[in-house]
Amino acid sequence: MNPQTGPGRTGRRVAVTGMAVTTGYGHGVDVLRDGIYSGVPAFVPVTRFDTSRYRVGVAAQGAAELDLDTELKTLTEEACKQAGLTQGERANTLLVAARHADPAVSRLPRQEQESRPISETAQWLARECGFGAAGRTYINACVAASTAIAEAGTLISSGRHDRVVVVAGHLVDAESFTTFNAGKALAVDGRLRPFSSGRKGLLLGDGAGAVVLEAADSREEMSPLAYLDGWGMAGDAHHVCQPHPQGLGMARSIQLALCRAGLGPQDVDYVNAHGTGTPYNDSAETAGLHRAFGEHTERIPVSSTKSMHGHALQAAGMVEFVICVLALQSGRLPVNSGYLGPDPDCRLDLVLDTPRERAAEHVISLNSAFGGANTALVVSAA
Amino acid sequence: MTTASKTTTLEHVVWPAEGEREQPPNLPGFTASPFGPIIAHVADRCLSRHWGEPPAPPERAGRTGMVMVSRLGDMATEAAVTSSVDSGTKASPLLFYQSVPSAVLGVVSARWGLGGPVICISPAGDPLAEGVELAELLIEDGSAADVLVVLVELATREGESDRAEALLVTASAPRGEEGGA
Repeated sequence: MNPQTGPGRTGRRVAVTGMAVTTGYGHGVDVLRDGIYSGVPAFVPVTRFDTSRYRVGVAAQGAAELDLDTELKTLTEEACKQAGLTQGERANTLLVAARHADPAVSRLPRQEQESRPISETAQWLARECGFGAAGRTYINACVAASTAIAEAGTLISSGRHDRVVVVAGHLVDAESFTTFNAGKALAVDGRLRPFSSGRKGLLLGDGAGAVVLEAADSREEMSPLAYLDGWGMAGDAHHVCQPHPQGLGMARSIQLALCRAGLGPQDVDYVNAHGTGTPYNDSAETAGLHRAFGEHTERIPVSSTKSMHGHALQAAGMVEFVICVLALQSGRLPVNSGYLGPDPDCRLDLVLDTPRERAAEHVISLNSAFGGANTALVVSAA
Repeated sequence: MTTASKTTTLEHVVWPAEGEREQPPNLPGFTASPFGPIIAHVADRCLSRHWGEPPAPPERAGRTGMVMVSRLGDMATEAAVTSSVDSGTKASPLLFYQSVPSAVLGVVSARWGLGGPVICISPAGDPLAEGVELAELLIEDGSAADVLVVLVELATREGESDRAEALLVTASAPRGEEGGA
């Protein structure tokens, strides 16, 4: 395959050259790899704040004292080091971010909030890490990180930038627990069981990460970990917080991503699903997968690794993107944990019990969010 | 109608308009903050000016995306959430989805049938410039044919009013095919 053009109608091919992540398993890609391939979920009793007033007290929480901005800086440095970026190359790098508003800012007097935009993390990181500029900060919830990665793909493939670093972060906090508790969205049985009968809802998890994306033809000293070959985004046009029951937006995002990658359903080796473990999401996502993949659907292995690392909200797409790269590198597909039995509305080839050996070439990472937002990223082996 | 190099702005509305002091209409399902109602109101005003009554024409609707731009986001909803945390009182179930900035765009997209990307950003620079730039990127990239850009900021000082703008952006016609509007 021509490394300059990629397989589809994308312009320049987009290489993944560095990645770093922190999850409920702890700090680092190695720790995440060990965790998800162990099949043991990272859910533990939350110690970061008092959960006694909530219906659920567990999450995939890492170190209680984590500070999001500090962790993002550490991860950004690690990802850039892996990519082998010089200071000069960093100076020509754009940083794009994904996160939610800092709850501490809403506790300030209104007038003081004015100087604390949500994008201040990105601007601080750009300065601290020696990047040329800070770009946008995506705040569209559970698709924030995946949308940021898609924008980075567009900026690189179109020739606007040679290199974009994407960072994303969400740490389990009392504010997200309060809203998810109020929405009765947390799994009262303490397990996140995607696509399973008897699934009760989701569990939250820490997630922070950074990836370095570069035009594959932009540097000679480059060792790609994988390629971002396709991305698609589409809306459900359906509801404020429920997915379209037929998965219309999800299906279109998959079709757009595959089209951009120059691939078809027959080329897909694995899907890392959004799979939140809520009754609405998982049946709608299954419908979207059937709509997009047709007769190929039930032979494509699927798992939602949220079943092990929890839902990292604005960072979900980052954590799951990294897991897709790990699946390509290791030739093993991570499991869909917590499965109790089949749901007739979720007819999929789920990866159950143990990781599945598969020399995957192309995998898809899916995410969706309130407001009917859907994203699909096609990640290909290096 | 204004034309940039790659896109054309079909409509541009500002809220509140000069001399306008009304609050946006209540939006069922949203509480404690004018953020969502303002977005829905200004989006409707922009789209109805161009397309009349909803839904959007089928040949445009499916590939119309939405970009919401806000430096601070919905600080009123955030304050409602943190107040619940700090006081130990139960939060309204509505805050579950209202605390997600993209949720209100689901109201707009459902009403108008918009099937393009649903994106919310906090810009690093000028909100209008970045919103339009992102719309151009989505159009050039083939992710959308038209993009509704909504800018919104809640007031942070006494005596100021909340403010919003909405623009409908489309690809510029190739040279020599411009219309006379």
